[in-house]
Amino acid sequence: MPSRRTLLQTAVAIAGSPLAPGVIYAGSARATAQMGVLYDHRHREARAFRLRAAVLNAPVHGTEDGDITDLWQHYFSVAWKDEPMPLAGLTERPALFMLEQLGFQHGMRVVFQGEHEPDGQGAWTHTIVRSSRPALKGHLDASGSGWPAVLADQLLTAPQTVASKDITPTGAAMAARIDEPARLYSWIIAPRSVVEHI
Amino acid sequence: MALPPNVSERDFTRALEQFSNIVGSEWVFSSDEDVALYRDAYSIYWGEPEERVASGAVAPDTVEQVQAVVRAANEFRIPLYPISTGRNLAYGGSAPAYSGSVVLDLKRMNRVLEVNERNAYALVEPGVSYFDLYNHIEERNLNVWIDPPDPGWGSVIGNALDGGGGWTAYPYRDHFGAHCGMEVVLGDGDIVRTGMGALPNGSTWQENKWGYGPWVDGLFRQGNMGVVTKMGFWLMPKPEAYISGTAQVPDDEGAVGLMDTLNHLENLGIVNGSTQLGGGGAGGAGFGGGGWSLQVPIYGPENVIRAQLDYCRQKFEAIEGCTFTEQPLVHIPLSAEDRARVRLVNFGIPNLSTFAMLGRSPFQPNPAGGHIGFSPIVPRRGEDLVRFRNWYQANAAEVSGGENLGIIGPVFMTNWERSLVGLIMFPISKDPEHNSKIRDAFVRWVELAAAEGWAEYRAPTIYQDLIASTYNYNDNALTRMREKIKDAVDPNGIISAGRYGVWPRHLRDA
Repeated sequence: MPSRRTLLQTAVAIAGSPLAPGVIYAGSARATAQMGVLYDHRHREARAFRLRAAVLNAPVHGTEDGDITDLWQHYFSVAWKDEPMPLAGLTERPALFMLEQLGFQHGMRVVFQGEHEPDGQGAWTHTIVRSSRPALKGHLDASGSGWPAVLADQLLTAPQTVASKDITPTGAAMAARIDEPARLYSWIIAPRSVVEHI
Repeated sequence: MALPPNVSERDFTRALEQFSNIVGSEWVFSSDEDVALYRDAYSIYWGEPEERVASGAVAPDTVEQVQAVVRAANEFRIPLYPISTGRNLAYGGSAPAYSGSVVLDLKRMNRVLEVNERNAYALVEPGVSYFDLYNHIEERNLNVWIDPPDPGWGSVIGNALDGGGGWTAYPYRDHFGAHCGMEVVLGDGDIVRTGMGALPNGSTWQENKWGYGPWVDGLFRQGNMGVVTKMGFWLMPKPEAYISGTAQVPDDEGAVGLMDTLNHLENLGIVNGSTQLGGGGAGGAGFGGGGWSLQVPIYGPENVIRAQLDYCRQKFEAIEGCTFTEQPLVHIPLSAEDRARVRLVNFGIPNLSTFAMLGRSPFQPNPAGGHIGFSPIVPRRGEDLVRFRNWYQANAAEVSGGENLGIIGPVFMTNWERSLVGLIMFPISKDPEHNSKIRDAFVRWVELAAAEGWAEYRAPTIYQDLIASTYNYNDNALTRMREKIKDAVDPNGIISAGRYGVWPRHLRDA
């Protein structure tokens, strides 16, 4: 049985939103199921990302403490067994690592990765690590504190296709260095079928 | 395409073709993209030439396919590295001990073959994870528990074979110790069943460990004599309740009585849960102060465990200066409220929460994630507890070269019966310079510990030779004996070359 926490965190998208009937993730090979969204409730920016995703009619899932166990056990693992569905997230690094690892066995790969680092004074540095649309960084830089909503718009409405040579594991298990500042990670995990065979 | 060592491209291509004929081409992996999935996520050589990497992977679905793959590997001298789910992070993950090996990925063999509620055992294949077995049991509402490690996404068989442990009651939390019977494909493709499994038409394979004659199961623990394709495990009947108490002593002198009393209570079977030891000024996260504390959990019927805890109180309070406090009894199955506050692995519930918390503290809010551990076995006596702590503190600065490398220690673990583990944790990242310093420190700790008579019980692949070299009584007689057996049952040295320091003849000679 899903825990109370899972049920609370798994929100249904807001019906009748401006972009209804919802955003369809369009991969290079075929359209796939509607992209879900995972956010880390501990971070204001992730909550803003979630709000915009809900407006865009995406199924939204949250984690209160970074632990994705309940969501994995009672939702993603079940859903992905039937049909792997793309999932976008704005979380800390461990959630990306866990879902990437778990997604491998369902033929999923990380097709987008961004890193977002606060300077402690309200500004953020955005690094697009893996994307077919590097212009995204410019959009985020230009959006100031509104970047989470812009990120949600870009990830949920624009297709991400990457070359197969670029979908090796992200290495998200480990930080770049042990004193790495706190960061948020944005990502899309999608079926391998959306990857360009180049 | 990377090649296995000493294998021509032509032979490797032919071997892959044979593997494809056996398992289907979609289950043979040789592209860089696919092979990269088998990297060790916590490699201390991340991105460096010394990182242990695979040359390919093959994923059979049946034991017959495993046999056929092993025979084909023999024909072309392809080194194989079997993994179950490949999630033993901090011990090498899915990357081979011998770089260039082909990973024999057993994830597809994920069938729960039997869960016998009446006699409380399970028989599973290597790809069955703790989540899988838990779900199987819960969906059928069976009255048994599993004993998951932390995290619980790994293989039940893989964890046991690697020497892993969990957090419920003894003997179940010693995962290899709780196994009963196995099926193994040897290095030449032959297949054996151990214990009572060797008896055709028998029905006690999972009920009697020993069978008849010399017991060989231990050869496959941290071993490379074959590919384990089935394994039985004794399960714990779901207990009715859980209770715990905490004994605290004010100083090191009290630690002697604390440990002696714990040993007495465990050896009598009064305390059966996984105890937690803290304090003593040891450096482990969350442990501070000069005194020592010990939490003693007990599983069983409510009236019985209340009496057991009363007995524990009497014994601990007999130690001078010791105080004993009880925690509230927890009924099983857990209420929603209890489930939200307890540590789930202590209640047989697998989870991944450790990844969200590992190493996080007020002083390190953003831990690097990667880590390895040095876990020497230490005598379970208060004097040795104090001696180990003092030894660690006396050497820590020198070993780290005067730098703060983020090493945490010692964390004392009492989850194995009869002995202590004095764990030292090493954070690793993708920073080669820092990782190099960590490697130096790791080696130094191993050397210093060996001089004191302490050595590791489980190691990352990269240090398995080093640790094996400390078990060197009588000119490495134990390793030499293992090598003789290895050469006999795997004459071409196909399976897991180098695992836990046992190399096949052709690589020893090289």
